[in-house]
Amino acid sequence: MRQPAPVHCPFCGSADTEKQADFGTSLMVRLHFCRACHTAFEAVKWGDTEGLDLPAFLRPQEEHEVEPEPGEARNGKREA
Amino acid sequence: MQDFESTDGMSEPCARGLRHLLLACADTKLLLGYHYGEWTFGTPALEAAVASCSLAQTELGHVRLLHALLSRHCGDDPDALVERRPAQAFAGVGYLDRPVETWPGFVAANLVVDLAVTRTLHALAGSAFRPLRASVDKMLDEERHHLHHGRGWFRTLAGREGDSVELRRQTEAAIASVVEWFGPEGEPEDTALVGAGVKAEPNGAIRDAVVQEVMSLAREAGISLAPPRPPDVGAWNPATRRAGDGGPEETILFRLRGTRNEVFKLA
Repeated sequence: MRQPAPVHCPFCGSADTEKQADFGTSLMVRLHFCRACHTAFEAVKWGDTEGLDLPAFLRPQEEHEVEPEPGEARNGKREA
Repeated sequence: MQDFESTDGMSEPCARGLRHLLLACADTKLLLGYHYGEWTFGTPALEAAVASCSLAQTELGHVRLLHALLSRHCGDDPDALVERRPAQAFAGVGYLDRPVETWPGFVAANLVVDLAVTRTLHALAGSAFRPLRASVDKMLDEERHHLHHGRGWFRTLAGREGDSVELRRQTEAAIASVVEWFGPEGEPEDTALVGAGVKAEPNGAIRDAVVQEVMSLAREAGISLAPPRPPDVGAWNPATRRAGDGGPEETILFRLRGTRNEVFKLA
């Protein structure tokens, strides 16, 4: 079975964290504990932004991707 | 571009600018948390009360993250930053210095002020100052939901005849404060931060993006906002992000600090 990706500690950046509870101060977050810096922290349970009304800079890239200029590839790099 | 594990190796204006930037974000979030918390018991809908409480908790959680960075890298004492600073030393967005007395005022804070800080944090994602990265990612994850809430309520109030006038008034006031908070173009500390790769964009570009975002949403919702006046560049102070004196009202700091409850503190 595939292991879920580790949640990084927002205080020290370590991936050596463990889930402590399925709910934190609200239903949408889980409580985690960082073994490296011994700090408890919360993380939002889901990463997708589907259905959220967001300003352009926080929308997934493909939603506000502008058409490339002539001679420019979609990833922003110039074509040779 | 060089990565920084600490402020060692940064130029003096860059290190100073980083401290001021972290403080400005932390102070704004501290006051946002206070106002969101105050409104937990005054919202027009039960769902909004639960949301306000949750918004307050996340903002205060972000303050904890930013204060940890200030403590570790800038030598600040988090307790002193909250408890023992004069009001004039705070660097939050001025809109939050006074009580937010109406629900449209709350929505303006949620839509405009929260957006201004979040857009600033977005410019710090992938920062050359590595300790910021994990913190910023977490904050942006949560701020998505804050902005969703603010935009939804803005659209709702904009469609209500009784609320739209006050909403326009409060939104214009919030935009004016945010424009002041971003300061003048080409400010030396900001230029040093962008030059070192700590911040992806200068304040002027972030300010313009925030104003454009709000104006565009308002137009879509049928509200015509007056374009903001450019900031007064002469007296602007990068440490307080204001042109001149100011700061949160003492009553707000008194409540925020829980001064009255000090008698219950265990020795």
